[in-house]
Amino acid sequence: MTDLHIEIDLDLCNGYGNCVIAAPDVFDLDPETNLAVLRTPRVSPERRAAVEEAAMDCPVQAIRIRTA
Amino acid sequence: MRTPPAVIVGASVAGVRVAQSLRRLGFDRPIVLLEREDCLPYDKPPLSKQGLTGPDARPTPLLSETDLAGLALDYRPGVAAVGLETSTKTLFISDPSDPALRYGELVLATGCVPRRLPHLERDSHGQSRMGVHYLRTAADAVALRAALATSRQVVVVGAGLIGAEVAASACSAARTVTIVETGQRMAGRVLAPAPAQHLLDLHRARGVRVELDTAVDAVTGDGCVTGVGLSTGEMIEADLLVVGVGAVPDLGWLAGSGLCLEGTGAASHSHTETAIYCDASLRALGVEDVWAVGDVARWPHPHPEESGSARYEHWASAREQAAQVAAAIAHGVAAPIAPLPYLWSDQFDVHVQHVGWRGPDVRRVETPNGGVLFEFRREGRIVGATGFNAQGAVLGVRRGLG
Repeated sequence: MTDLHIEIDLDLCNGYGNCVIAAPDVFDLDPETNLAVLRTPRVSPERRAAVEEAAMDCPVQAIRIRTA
Repeated sequence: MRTPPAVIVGASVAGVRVAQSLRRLGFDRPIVLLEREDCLPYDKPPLSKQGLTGPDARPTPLLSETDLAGLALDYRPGVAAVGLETSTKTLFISDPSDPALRYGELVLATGCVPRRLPHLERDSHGQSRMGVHYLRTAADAVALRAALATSRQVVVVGAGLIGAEVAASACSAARTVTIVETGQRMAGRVLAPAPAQHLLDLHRARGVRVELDTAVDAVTGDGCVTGVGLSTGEMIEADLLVVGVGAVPDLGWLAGSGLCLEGTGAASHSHTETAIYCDASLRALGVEDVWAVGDVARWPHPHPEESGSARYEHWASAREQAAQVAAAIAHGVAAPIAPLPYLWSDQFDVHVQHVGWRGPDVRRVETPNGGVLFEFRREGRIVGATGFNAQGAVLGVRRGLG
């Protein structure tokens, strides 16, 4: 099982924070820009469910998940 | 005998998320998703924001054709629910080729319709007047976008979040904009006085005229809007009138179904508005295998800040309700549903967020990157916050409350 590769489209992100609620180990908000940041670019596949929740909870669909 | 499908009525975020969550939880029976509008499922919040003046007029999709196929959903656009017989678990729909749909489980996610002001819509000949708009659906947004493109003077009736968003979009597009609100403050239903004043200051600083404690008594113009008469006696020229005075669940089709719609009996918490009254896990009261999610559901919210029961019109709580109703259907796990209120609005270049409840003690905090946070406390404990470009601080409060 390979790691998940996650991308955040910062043109869409507006710091709603839903991703941080869904997967706080993966996402955070940058205190300067108010936008989402990844705590780590590659995420263990065991976290797929939480990351999918985060992507589904994003009001602007800014989160893309790829299996790297 | 074929197993009857789970039927979901309404393909906005609440209904769509129920369908997605059911599949994620391994629900393998057929799912029928009905949508009154004849289009792919789309998301409503952007309609009053980037949808009005942004470069792309198309609504934000919630599901693509590929997604619908991947989820094995029997999606039926352009089909409305018109009646319900719970004794035989039959939903009557507006499709003449298949008018009676048997369901195993039924999820009602039909949302709200705008509260209308008919006296503003009709001219002196009783004809429907051009230039009076509401905003709820993608079709409404397309019509309003076109009207906005050719308008010069816009009057927004109602200073709720949707009205304020429309006003901000129109003002940013260099229109002359007046908001007329009968209440004492902007967004008074969701914002406490201090953040409401902050929002008012923002609009006035950007050039929106805001008249509070004022009503639109009359509209002038036969055929097309030419102006409005205010309760102060003043006349304002206008070529576009946008009415945003709230929304109500549209549940007339459920009369006689056995569902509890008026808040009588055990579910009554002195609310008189129409809604689908539910138990703590969003099962409709008095019937079997029917749930309500999103704007239509009123249920006993356990939080002490709620006065007995709650009905939320928020995207985030619809999403959370949907996940839990799907769990109830897929696994029979019926847990009390207690979403934290969370809503947002985009006006000018300001992202407004509100989380939790308003407490009696308010503290205004400037965030290091130029945002403003209003924190609400009760007996020293934070119960909620409203932020203006204060996403990080709002998230902090939200995590503390969640």
